[in-house]
Amino acid sequence: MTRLKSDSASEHIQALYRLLLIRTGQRIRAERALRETLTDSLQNTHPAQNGTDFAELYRTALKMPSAVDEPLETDLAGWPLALHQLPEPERSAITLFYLEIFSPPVLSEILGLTIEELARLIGAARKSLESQQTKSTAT
Amino acid sequence: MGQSLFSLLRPAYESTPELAAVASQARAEIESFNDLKQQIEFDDKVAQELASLKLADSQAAAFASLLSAPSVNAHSKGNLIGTAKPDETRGEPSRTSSEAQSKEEEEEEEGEAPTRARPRTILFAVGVGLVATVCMVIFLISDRLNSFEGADRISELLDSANDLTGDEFEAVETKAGDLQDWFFLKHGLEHYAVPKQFANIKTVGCRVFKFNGATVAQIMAVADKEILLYMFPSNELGIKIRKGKWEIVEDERWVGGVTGINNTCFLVAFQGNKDEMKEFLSNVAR
Repeated sequence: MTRLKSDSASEHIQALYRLLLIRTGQRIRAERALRETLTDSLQNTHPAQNGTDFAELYRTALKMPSAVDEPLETDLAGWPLALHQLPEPERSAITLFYLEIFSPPVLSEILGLTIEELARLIGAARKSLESQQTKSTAT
Repeated sequence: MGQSLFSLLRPAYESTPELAAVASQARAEIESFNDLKQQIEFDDKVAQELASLKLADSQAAAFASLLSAPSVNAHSKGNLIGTAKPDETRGEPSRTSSEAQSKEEEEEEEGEAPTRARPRTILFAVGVGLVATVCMVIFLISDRLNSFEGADRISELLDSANDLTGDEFEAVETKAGDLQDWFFLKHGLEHYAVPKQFANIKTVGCRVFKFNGATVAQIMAVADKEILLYMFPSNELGIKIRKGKWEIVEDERWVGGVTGINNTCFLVAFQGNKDEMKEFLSNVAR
C-alpha cells in the first residue's frame, strides 16, 4: 500500500514549494512565498511549543497571495501549468490532494471544508483537467 | 455518502478510515473498479509531473533547517536561503525563465541587502574617523601655534597696500631710526618704535593714516628691495604679540613680518612669500 509522503521536514518543504509554485506560477515568487510562509509561521510559533505544526505551515501558505490578476510569464508547462490555470479553491485543493502529504480528512480541515465538499471540489477540478487534456489532444 | 467520496480515492488514501469502505466497495464491482483504475491512472500522470517540480536539495535543506532552528531570527533566515545558487534548482523547462529568475533574484537581493556592516568595515570606518580627528587636532594646534591674536587685522592691513600709488607719501629721505621726532612734531605720533636692526634702513617717504580707528605710521623704505614699515598701538587693532618674537603673515601678494616693541606693533612688509620674509628677517638681524 502506498503511504503518505509526510515523513520529513524536507518532504514538507518540497510539498509547500510545489503548492506555492502552482499557486503563483513562477519559481521566484514561489521561493519568496515559501520564505515568507516559514518566517510567518516561526514568528507565530509559541517558544514553548515543541516540534513543527506542519498543517499550520500549509494554512499560512494558502494565505499567501497567489497569481496576480494580470497574465504573467509562467515557469510552468504541461500538467503543472494546467493545475495553475484552475481557479481557486480547486487549484490549491487538487494540488494538495496530488501531493499526498495529508489524508483527505486532514486536508479538508486545512482547507476549512467538509470531506464531502473536498470530494466535490476534487471531482470538479479533475474534470476540468480532463477536459483540458481532451482539448489539447483534439488540437 | 460512500459514492460522494469516490473522487478522493488514491492508493495512498485508501487506508484512511473514512475512505476504506468506499475503496473496498469500488474495487469489488467491475464497473466502479474500471472507473477507479482510470481515475488513478489519470491522477498518477498529473501527480508525477507535479512531483518533478523540486527545489534543489541544498535549497530545501536550507529551508528545512529553519524549521529545526526556530530561535534564528527571520532576517537571517532570508539571507541563508537567498544564498542558494539559482542553477541548483531542477525540473524547470525554460531557459528564459531561469534568466528572468536570476534577474529577479538580483533585484530581490538588492532589496533585502543586509543593513548590518561587517566588523572589518566598522573598524575601518572608526580608524578613518580617528585619523581624521587626529589630523584635525594637529592642524588646529599647528594653526594656533603659527598664528597670533589679530593676525587677520594684519592681513587686512597688507591688503590695503595694494591700492598704494606712492603719491600718498611725503618724501622723507633719512634713516628709519631718525624719524621719531618727525612723526611726533608733524603728526603728534607718540607710538613710534623701530627695532634696532631696522634703524639704519633708508627711508623714501612717510605718512600717517587711519585704519580701523587706529593711527598708523607708514614708511616707504629701500633695503635690498622696496619695503613698507608700519607702526601702530597694538591694543587699537587688538593685536597681541610677544615682544621680540617675529610672526609672519602671508597674503595673496604681500607678506608681513610682525613684532612687538613695548605697546607698539611693528610691521615690515613687501611683495613676496613667507620664505622670502624669513630670509629677509634673518639678513636684517645680522
